[in-house]
Amino acid sequence: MIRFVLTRLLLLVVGLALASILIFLTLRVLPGDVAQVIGGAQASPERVAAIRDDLGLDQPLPVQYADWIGGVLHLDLGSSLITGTSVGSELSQKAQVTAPLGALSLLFAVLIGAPLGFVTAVRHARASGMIVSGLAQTLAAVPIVWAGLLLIILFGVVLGWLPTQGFPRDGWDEPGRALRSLILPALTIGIIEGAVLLRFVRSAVLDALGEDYVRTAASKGLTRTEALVRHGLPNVALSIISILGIQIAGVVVGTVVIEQLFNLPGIGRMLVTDVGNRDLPKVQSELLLLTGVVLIVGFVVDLLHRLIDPRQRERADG
Amino acid sequence: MTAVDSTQEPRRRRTGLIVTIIVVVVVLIAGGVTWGVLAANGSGSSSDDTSVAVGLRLEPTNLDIVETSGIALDQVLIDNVYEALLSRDDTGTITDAIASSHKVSKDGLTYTFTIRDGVKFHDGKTLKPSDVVWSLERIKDDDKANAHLELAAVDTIKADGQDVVLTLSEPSSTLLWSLTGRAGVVLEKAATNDIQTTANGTGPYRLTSWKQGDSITLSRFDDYWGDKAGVAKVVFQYFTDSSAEVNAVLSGDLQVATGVDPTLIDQLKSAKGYDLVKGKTTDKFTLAFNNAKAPFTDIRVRQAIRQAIDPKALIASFGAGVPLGGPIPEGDPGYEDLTDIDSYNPENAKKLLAEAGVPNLALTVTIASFYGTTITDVLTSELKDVGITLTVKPVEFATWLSDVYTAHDYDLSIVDHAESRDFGSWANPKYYFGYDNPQVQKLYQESQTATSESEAADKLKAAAKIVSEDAAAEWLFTSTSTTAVDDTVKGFPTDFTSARLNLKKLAVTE
Repeated sequence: MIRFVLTRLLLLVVGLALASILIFLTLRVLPGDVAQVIGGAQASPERVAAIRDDLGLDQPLPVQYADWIGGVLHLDLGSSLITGTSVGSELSQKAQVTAPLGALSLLFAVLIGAPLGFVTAVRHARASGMIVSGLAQTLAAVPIVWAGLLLIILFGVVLGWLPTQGFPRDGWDEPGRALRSLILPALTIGIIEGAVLLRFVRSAVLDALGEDYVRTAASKGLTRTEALVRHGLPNVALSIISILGIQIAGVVVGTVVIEQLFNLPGIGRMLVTDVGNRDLPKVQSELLLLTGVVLIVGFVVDLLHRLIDPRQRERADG
Repeated sequence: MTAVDSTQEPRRRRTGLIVTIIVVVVVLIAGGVTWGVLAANGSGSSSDDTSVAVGLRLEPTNLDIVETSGIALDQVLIDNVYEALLSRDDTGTITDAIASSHKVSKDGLTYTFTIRDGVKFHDGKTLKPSDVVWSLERIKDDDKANAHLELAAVDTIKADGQDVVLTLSEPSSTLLWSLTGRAGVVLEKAATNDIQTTANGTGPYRLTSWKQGDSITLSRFDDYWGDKAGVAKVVFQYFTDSSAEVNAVLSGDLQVATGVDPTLIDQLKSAKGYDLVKGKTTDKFTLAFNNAKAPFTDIRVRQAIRQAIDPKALIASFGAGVPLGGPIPEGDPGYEDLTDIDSYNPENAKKLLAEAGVPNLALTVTIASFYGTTITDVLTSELKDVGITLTVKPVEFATWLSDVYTAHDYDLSIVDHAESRDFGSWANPKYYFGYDNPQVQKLYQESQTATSESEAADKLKAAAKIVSEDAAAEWLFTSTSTTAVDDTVKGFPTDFTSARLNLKKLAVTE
């Protein structure tokens, strides 16, 4: 077990290091720079050069990278070239929107994907099961912006139940409004990710249906559904946890798009703005943090899986 | 077998436990969501003080009024938070602000501003003539300052009692106008605040908060020297998505929405309690030609492209605007109607292209992606009719700045040049237009050093006509803005809203 944890930890660290280099280099390939953005469409080349010099943009790349990573290792994510504010404090402020949005999206995904996946598997031979899994197949391929627009029209404009944009200016000081404003965006991501989850749950349940222990339980007098719920569900729960670990990445990408559409002041929208402004020190820390979240969740899921699946643990112990 | 059985029991319980925990968490959160919905529906708190929420499209990158470019800063901060020596009303007439009066000597070389008594900064300090001198000198001396070149003609800046006197090395017909903007903004010399994220001005509103990527909040400044602001609080809410802004109006989150997307206006027409007001802008949507590069070095090619484009069709698709035949829009000095020059004539365009020896031309238009595809769709089809194949290359604005603006690496480019009185670009051969006509440069220079406004306007008018006759670009149209204003909101400006939003007269009636 300890060896397992150590190898996974090493993988995590190597993954983060590689990610940091990739992020850093990819951003340097982008055309344009922050000095030009500050100078704007009336600035003379001399003025842009003066601004660039002032910001220290002419330092060699290895020096810039070392500066950045050195700070990150001391938990200092650097500061914006444009406003001078600390990236860490701004991230924690924007996370108040994005973290609940991501969590709520996952929750919706599970609420939608898990039960429906279960039902479609049990009813896989009937029309209702086929229709639902066909729908899921379609939904999983729908662009998220389009799904969001449809939901806005239905719940926001036609029914008028939920706010279609924005986040209260006082944030979580108005918990009711804050939560309400996250429901539609989270539902949008949740439906798409839920449709993906549904397909995995369905095939996991179908597998379980064919397992000996379910057949044995059924032959001992339980109905097939009872046998599945009592003996199959724990196995299915395991695969749901693994899939959710992977879906974190989908949720992160989803929030970037959805925060634009719903005008939410979160990390995703900040990221898009900062890329547009070429505020690279800020962008690289934001990207590293998001990558870190995805990698760390993957790491934790691996550990959890190991902990709660007796078969894997026995194999490791033996 | 028995051994396996005995260990499986607690394990199954453990998995069962995990499933139970997940279910409990799900139920709790779902309960929380429901409660949130109910709680929010119940609360309709009314504040006892007046507040107006305004929707805007373009957020400033930071709040540094000295160095950071971008009209998004002037729009929100000048006249409201910061004040300049002078100001201007919505007809473009220059008025006094921090200067209580000003006079210009007959030779146009000495400007005397009497500084208003009792002007207070938001931190409570009183404004002194030395603050004015320091602010202007800073812009004159710092080549990173945005308005640096606007004070190029100024030689000395001196305080004399309550007066501030500027002496010039040559007359400048644009100095007074410049002093209504960034060049004339007065900051406090002794202040230590960070002007990138906070503001310490003298205007009727204090900047109380800037939530980056979200909103800017202003509050009434009670020690303002003039009439106090009519509302206690103004919130500027920024929208990256145009339909989100319209939705915010429909749901009552905004009392005012500026720059409403013309294609979404129909959605707002059905909303009750709002006026949709059309306003003038100086937003010149310009199809720039790379004049310094073939095939645009041939005037026949430039004229052909101009004659291939029907501005009326373009305006109809875009949704709002007025035709613009030259570089100066209505409202700016030197304007005259030049729409007859190279007017729509696709047959003649084909002839011109054949004469120039390029009957089948392939060109690329580089455009910042936030302008959408409406304009380029129309252009692609119109140019196709005369035998020009147009490839559209949408890029991020930062990429546009480096490729087109700095490196001049483009054929055609579409930009909304929103600044007013920016004719100088046509007299600068190094500008990305690559347009170099010494006669235009001479006329522009003469207009700059003219000692009367009418003389300056005449010179500009003559220069603008030459630029249009040279077919240096195709001026597609000047856009018309639409502002949605709640019936209870009075005094919100609706002309030139992208350049300046003076909210001194803003009020809310019940």
